[in-house]
Amino acid sequence: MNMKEVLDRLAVHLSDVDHRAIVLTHSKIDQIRFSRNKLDIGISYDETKFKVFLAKRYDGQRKTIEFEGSTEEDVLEKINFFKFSLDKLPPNPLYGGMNEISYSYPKPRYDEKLLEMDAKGAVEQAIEAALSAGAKRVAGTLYIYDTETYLKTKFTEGYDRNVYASLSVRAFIDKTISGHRVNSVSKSSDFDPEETGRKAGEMAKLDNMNRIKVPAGKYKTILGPLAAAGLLGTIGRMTSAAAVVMGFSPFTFDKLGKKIASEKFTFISSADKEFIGYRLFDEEGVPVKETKIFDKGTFKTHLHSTSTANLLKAKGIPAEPTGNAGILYPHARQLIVEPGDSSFEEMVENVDRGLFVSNVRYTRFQSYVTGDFSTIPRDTFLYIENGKIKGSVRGLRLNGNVIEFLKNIRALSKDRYPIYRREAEIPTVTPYLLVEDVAFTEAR
Amino acid sequence: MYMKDRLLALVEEALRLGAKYAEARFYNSPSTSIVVQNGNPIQIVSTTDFGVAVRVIYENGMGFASTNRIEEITELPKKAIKMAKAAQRKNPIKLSEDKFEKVSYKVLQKKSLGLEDRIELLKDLDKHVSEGIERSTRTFMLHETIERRVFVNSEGAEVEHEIPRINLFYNLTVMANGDAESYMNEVGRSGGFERFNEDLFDEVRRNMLVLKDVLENARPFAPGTYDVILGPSVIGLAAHESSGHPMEADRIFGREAAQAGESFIDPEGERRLGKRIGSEVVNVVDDPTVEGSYGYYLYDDEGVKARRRYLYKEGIINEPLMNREYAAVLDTLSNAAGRSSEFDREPIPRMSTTFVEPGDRKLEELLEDIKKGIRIETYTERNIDDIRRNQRYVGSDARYIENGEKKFRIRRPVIELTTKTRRSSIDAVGNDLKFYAGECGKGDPMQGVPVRMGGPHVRMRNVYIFPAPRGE
Repeated sequence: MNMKEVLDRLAVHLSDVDHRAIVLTHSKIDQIRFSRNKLDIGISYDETKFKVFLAKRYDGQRKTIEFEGSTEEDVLEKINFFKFSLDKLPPNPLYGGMNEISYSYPKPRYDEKLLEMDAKGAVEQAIEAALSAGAKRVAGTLYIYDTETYLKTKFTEGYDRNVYASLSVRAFIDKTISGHRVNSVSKSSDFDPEETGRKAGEMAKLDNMNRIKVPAGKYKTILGPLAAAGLLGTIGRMTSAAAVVMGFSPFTFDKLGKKIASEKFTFISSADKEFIGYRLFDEEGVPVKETKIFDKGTFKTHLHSTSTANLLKAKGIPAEPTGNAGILYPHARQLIVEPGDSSFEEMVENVDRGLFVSNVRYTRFQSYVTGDFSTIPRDTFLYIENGKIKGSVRGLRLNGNVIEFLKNIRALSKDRYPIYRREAEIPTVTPYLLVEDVAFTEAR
Repeated sequence: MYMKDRLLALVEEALRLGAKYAEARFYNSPSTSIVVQNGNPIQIVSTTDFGVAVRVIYENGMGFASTNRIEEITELPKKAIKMAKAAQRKNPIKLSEDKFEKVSYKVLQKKSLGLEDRIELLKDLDKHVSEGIERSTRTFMLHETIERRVFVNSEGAEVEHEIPRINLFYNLTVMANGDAESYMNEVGRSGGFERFNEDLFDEVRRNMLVLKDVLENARPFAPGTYDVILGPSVIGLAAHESSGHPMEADRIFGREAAQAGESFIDPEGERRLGKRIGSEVVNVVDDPTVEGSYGYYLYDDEGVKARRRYLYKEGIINEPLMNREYAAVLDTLSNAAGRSSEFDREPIPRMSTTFVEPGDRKLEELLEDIKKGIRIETYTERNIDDIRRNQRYVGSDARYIENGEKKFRIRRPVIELTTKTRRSSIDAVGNDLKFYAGECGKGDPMQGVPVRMGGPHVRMRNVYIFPAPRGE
């Protein structure tokens, strides 16, 4: 089936709407899940999805609707139904228009060698390496993704293809002693199941130190890449202009242009870099680009589609589309933190009394608007005293406020790690972070 | 060809190719979501969970293949076997020896609403909730799905169901004096819009007024040990998070170790089936067959007939939630907990309607002999560690109690305790029962399934409570 021709045929039926975007994705994904050193299941996904956005002008205001379908016939039927449903719907005051520029995009770049890998062999290699490094049992998942995207709007059309893989290995010495490592790659040369398994095993071994009872309180804290990616993904999501409007963000419009984070923190939305979240264009055809959300601590911009940017501009707030996914609700496709100049070891040396949190899970907010949250350290969790790791810690919960957290970043490592996994759904490239005054509470 | 016959043909083909066991599923579930923000409809989205999947056991491996491309459906048995070959184990895989039926069932909607009527409903709700409140943001997301599923397997199961499910999620924030307070919750039912009435409007309004009251009237309280009354919303959440999740058999046996996590229950240790875990006044139940529940079903996604299960009986660890693979590990029959959220997801052990059974005490009786205490009716932030032992609940609607009477409102009291402390601190269970809906996330890729949770008011003794740390 020629996908481009399918989109052309569907577009004919949408000539009378003002704005339209049809995104067709065809995803082929292979997955192997494993636990207790054995393979649990092999899964193959093969899915075609049409995503259609329509906007039509009525008396100076626009009405919008979105729908999905899986076949050309299905989408055609929905087009005919929803096109006329628009007449009866109220206008959408939060729709400010979409990209009206025609672009030409570069040819997609991807590494097909990833699709040729021996998935079973890679998983077995990772398990074996983790066991050799000291783990008693190993669990995880390997995904291999191959996604093609076709886009057609009234103004532009494009094609993209992305191939990437992500291996997640969690190694256990017992139920509460574990280490976790993720290897998320878009290049076959970066895929290393042996190292991923071995490092997970080594992290478990590091966690297998004498348990130290650490009281609740504030600590200088080093966050490993898994922990940092989990929190930064949440923070990245909050920088969407739509999140602010809908009450899901503390990054209100009055904070724009202000230094609200640490001087050392530069946070970029950038799907143009060839990591796992690499893409050519967003859902309205705006080419992806590098957007500094925070530049040396200054909050530079929210994430914008043409719609949210136009709405803000109408209120006198400068805004430009940032090339992100989502027409009504822009969100990052890939987040990147600029590196620092420390090594992990130097960070540890600079901690007089503090903690190392390798991973977090279950981050929840008291209020998205105030930004108060807590999250639970998991896997390797260590106490540091006078620049030395003294033992492992359990039972503490990390408390924070996202703005305080960003303000208190004191150092970043020079090495960075691309992370994409269940608890970091936005691909994030992050260094280790050293954060001052992180509050920990304790279950009794 | 009728879809069930096509699925049976896929099963037959998988067996012909050498599979020891095969099953096929077809889901065709249309959904519509409407988002209304501060009274304005800002997003209307229609989607469909549409596709076919085949799962097989081939030699010592389990394989699963799915597609929504019509032309690829006949390839699924071959692909599933290929994936099973890529996931071979050393030992054979067994499934429990359940009995299967040929059955079809359907939940009717007593009241249905068109798109425009749903938008009007949300606009009316927004108006009712925000009246008289100076500064606030309100976001309502109404989601309706008609879950249509067909399942067959090589052991005689042929199950078809149609269950409409409706969910309303809302996020409320009230702002005053440079400060803000927020609350999120969801309401869900299987069936139609018949329960989306004045009672719901008033409940959401009450939650909004609590936020205003917190900002205007909350008084400080000292960290310390208090007697606590927890409302059905908090107890329901605890029943789900710290009682239900650790009883999922795949967690107990480590299959979710790299994803949702494991369980404090240890099949070979001190905390195993049959051992006491908590107070004998506590029973925790999971029951998929509660009519009208958001987590309702009569047959699970492996074709097994559903029934009520006591997860904990009089404080004893009683019966885990099992799909067929883990029922076989425990040498028993499945208790129909195998659920797959979408056509392309494998069935894994999940909850449905999980609740603490009511006791015999009136709320006034629970309150009357509390000298110094805190009553928490609803919660805001909450989380729990991945073996379900260390948990936290932050109160939203919360008051200080003295000599059995509510004295003043307090802000964000935090209970952070272990499952053992929580269960052993309970000394009385109320005779009321209320339910709340939720989407439960688990698995990899993430599977969100509709669930319901609830319980009565419960009293706990000597619990350490402190005000939530806040940003400066």
